[in-house]
Amino acid sequence: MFLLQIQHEVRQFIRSPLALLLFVFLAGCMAFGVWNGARDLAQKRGAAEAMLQKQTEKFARLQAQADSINRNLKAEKRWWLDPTSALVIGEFDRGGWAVVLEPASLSILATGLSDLQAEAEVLKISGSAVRSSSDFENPVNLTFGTFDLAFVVTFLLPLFVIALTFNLVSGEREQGTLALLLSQPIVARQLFGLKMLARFSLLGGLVLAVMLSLLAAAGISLAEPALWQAAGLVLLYTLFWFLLALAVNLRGQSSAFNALACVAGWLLLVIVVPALVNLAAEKARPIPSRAVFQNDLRTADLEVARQKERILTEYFQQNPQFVRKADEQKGDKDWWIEEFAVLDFDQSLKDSLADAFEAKAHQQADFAQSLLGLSPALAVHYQLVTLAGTGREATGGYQQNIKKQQQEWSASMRTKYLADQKLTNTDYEAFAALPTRVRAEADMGNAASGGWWLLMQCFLVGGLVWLVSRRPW
Amino acid sequence: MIEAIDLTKKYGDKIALDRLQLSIQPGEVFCLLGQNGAGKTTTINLFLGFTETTSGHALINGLRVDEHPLETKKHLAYIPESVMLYPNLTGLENLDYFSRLAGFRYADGRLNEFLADVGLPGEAHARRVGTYSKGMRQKVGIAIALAKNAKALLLDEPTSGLDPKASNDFSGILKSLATQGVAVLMATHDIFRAKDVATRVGIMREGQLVATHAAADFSAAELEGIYLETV
Amino acid sequence: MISTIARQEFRSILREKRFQMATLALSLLFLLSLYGAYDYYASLQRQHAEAAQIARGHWENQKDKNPHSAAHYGTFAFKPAYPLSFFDRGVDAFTGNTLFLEAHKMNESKYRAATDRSELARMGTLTPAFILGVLFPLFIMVLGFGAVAGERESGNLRLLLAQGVGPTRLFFGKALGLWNAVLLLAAPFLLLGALGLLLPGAGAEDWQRYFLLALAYLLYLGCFVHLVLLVSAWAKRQNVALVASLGVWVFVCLIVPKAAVNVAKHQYPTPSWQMYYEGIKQDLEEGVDGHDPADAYTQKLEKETLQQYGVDSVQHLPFNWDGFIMQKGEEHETYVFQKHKDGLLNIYAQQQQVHAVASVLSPYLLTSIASHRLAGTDVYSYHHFLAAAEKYRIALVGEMNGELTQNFKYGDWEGKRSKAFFASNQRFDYQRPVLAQVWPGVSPALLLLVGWWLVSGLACLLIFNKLRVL
Repeated sequence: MFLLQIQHEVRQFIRSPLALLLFVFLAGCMAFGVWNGARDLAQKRGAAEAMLQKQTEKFARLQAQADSINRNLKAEKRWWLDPTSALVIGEFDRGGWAVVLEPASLSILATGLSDLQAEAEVLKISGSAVRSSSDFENPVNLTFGTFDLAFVVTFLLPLFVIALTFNLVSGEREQGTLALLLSQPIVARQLFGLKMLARFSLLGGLVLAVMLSLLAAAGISLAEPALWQAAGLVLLYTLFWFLLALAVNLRGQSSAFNALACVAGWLLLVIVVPALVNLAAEKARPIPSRAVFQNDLRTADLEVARQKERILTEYFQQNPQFVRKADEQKGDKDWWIEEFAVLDFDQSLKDSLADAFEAKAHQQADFAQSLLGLSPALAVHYQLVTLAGTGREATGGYQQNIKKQQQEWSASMRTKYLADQKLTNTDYEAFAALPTRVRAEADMGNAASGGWWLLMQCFLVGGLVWLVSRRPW
Repeated sequence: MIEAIDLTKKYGDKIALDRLQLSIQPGEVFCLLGQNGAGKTTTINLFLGFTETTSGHALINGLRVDEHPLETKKHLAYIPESVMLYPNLTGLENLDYFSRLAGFRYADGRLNEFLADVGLPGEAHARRVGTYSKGMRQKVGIAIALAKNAKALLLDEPTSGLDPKASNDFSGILKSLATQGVAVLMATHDIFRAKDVATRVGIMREGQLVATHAAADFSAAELEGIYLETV
Repeated sequence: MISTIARQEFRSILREKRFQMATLALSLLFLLSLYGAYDYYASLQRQHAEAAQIARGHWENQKDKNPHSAAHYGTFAFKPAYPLSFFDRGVDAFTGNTLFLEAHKMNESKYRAATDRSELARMGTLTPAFILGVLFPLFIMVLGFGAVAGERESGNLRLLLAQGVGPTRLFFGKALGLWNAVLLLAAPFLLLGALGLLLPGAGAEDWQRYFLLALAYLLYLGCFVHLVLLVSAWAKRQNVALVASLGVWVFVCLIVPKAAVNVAKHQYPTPSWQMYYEGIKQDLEEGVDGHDPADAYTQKLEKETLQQYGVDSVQHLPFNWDGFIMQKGEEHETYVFQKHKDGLLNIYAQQQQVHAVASVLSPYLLTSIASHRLAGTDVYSYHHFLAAAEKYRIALVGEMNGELTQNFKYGDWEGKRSKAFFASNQRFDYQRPVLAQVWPGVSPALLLLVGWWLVSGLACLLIFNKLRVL
């Protein structure tokens, strides 16, 4: 019986020009989305590779130059360009170690925040400098957002489902085939249950086939578990809209009413509720002002200046190999010794400010996240972005890993400078062996919450269907 | 055979059907005449189990419709007033689909035979129903009924909108079904057709079967006169 | 005749249940959007004004130091807020809030609001512009899809035409009736929206801008009135009209804007960080480097100046050569920085051309552009601020370098200045561009909108004249 229904559904689908047109349009949009995602990824990767390439070349030149200087074949009078100086290579523009923030290969799935993400950071003794091409991106493009697969799935897929299911029952009634069907010796509920299952299988199957083949063509391996998780997510999402259309159909109204009701549902759940959730999040957990933050960082400098005396005293006590000199007698290195001495304190002060800011800012995101249950569009979009690795957790993950590397770099270069070590070939070879890529590994604590919410929402709508179906036809 | 015992249907205070007594034997064609709203369609709906009886019983082949909904449907066939079917499927495919739902799997050849039996032109079998005329769709509806091998046939205004030739074809099929032992209940406005096909004619008014006559006893004109008097 | 039809259309729409429900829903949402947005401008304005005060305080109270060191200490400029930003936030979330002004560098602004939010925030913000731009057109579609198709299906169209109503009159009547129903809601919305201007800081110019904004949105809604009538006249059945109208809305408001923007981005890509800075570096290397006396251009300038003053070494110049050369370097550098910034703006302009082409398919893009510009939340207003901040930077650094040039001896890097000096430095006083300056950027969009409205109207007239009655 189920096979009969599937055969029936497939036949109807293939012979309906409108259905085919809609499917082709959806598939086209998905293809465009995947193509955009792939292009963006390629661009990011290209920029990152170019940067690393330049760095390899630069350090090769610096190594050659340092070598000549070390062998007294050449001299560099401009001290701020001296490649044998750990200070210059560690801190100044001449040096610094660029580390690329590896873009997530699954970002083809959902752009998320990756279009605002920097592609590299240059590690220095005093911190890291961000290199971000998104600084130059036209803000208009960023405002309208990327036409990515997540957009097509979240916004357009439900419309496709609605367009093919809004007259699931009402169409049969208006066509006159409903009476014929009901006069056959089959349990009506069973028939419609199978019919619904058949149509869902057809729609879900079509969408998944297109999605998976597109993503595979874009270079995502079929062995990637996230791919299948995304497929499951899309299937659940399709199921939700399908069940909603069914519930509306079971109210027994005309096709026109059903269409309006389903579209009203779409409008509410996909457009209005997310906007309302964002409004609520903004009001309930406003993000503190960055202008204030910027000034606070300045004020922190003053604090550091106040504490400087104490810190320096401690430092020279703990490091008797260095002698504290009066300002007039200080040489370049003495200035730097003092700079380095306060560096850690300075960093920790500024880090605590940044962490406090982040914690408050994160509250808004957390608030919005707690409301994922209000709309399947929110749940599916959030989950797709999380699966793609382009969400906030990923951004935070990059930062943690960069921080670690930067601290290592800083410590190593400082030590070298303070020990008056000149940089030799050995050092440069060690540089070449340093990691140049950083991944966004982070604690994905709530990683599947979107998926669970979506599942729950499907159950809710399923319950609604069951409730409505108890009324007579 | 089709039986109604004290069949009553009320919608709130409104009485749609008032204690209908009816018994149609195999081979009989019973035509139900009456104004719009007299209760003809309600009667058919009750036999189909589409609505619940308020009191009384509807029986198909001795089985109560309310007690045996699925079984009674096995024994009956229904042709609604406007047969639309699935426009994107061919006549053959529509027949196949509905037959399978009823539990019958026929080979294509047999299905074509059914369609030919009801007079559907051979070239039309493989055309989409969306291109059929009303008469042709009607014929597919009858073929669906035939393929079911039902012993009871329920028809709701079957000849409305049909041209005289199609209407005539239809009468022929109905009469041949009757000779094969099928009990037929037909609700209609068409007095001429009723006289042609029916064994008995019943006139309904405001939910009550007010008169029953043997069709052979009267001419069509006389029948019309009785009708106009009765309603 | 036209007014009869219009009146009938208006009345029948108003009696529809869906009109009442949609009106309720839209009004609620609009009020919510006002609630959400009303203090957007005020709070941002206040935060940034306070921050500017504090930054100035930092500058004035900085430790006594050499003026050049002060130039490196630098100060901050904060993005200005516009009173109309409550209505349309434009690209605000994607432009940086703080800008560090220091010597020898033209920094990029930092801290975009969008990076501090979650990705869900990009699913949509409830502002009045969003409601008028995205939700209202859907409202129009839902109201008008049956205007002709419904009448055709029910057979009323035959009656109408049999009564002697000409197709042109029919169109004008329907359009007027539908437009009145739309205006019934749009006018109060726009009036309510004007309340947001009563907040402090809104001058006569802001009212003028709002008036133009309202005009733009009215034109935009008018386009949709035409679109829905077009679809309704074309569709065979009401169901088809409904699905087609919704499809048109999805296409115009969701698909085309996003698609156009993505196509423009890939067609005219902006440079990567590396390409941008290498371009600058290359240009700088062919210019004056204030700290590098070995540079060729410096040498040339040195020779020229020595000749001009008739001395044989920079120590003998009547002013401090170091200060002088640094300022010259600064001026040359800013020329290079601005050149590259303008290059970016050129790319944006090219991308905008793609948007303009796409707006043949979607008036939403046009309206957004006009709306952003009038509200002051567009890219060009932002770059106007950046340019002004850069000018201020040069001026401030110029004061430092000038002090060094005039009042310091050559080679004296130890001399210091104190609060008295720093307090005397000029403040950053940003003047927003006036409407007259913005107008050349707005008028093409508005003109195209008018064009869209006219063309869609003509298309309607055409299809009404070829109306299928059955």
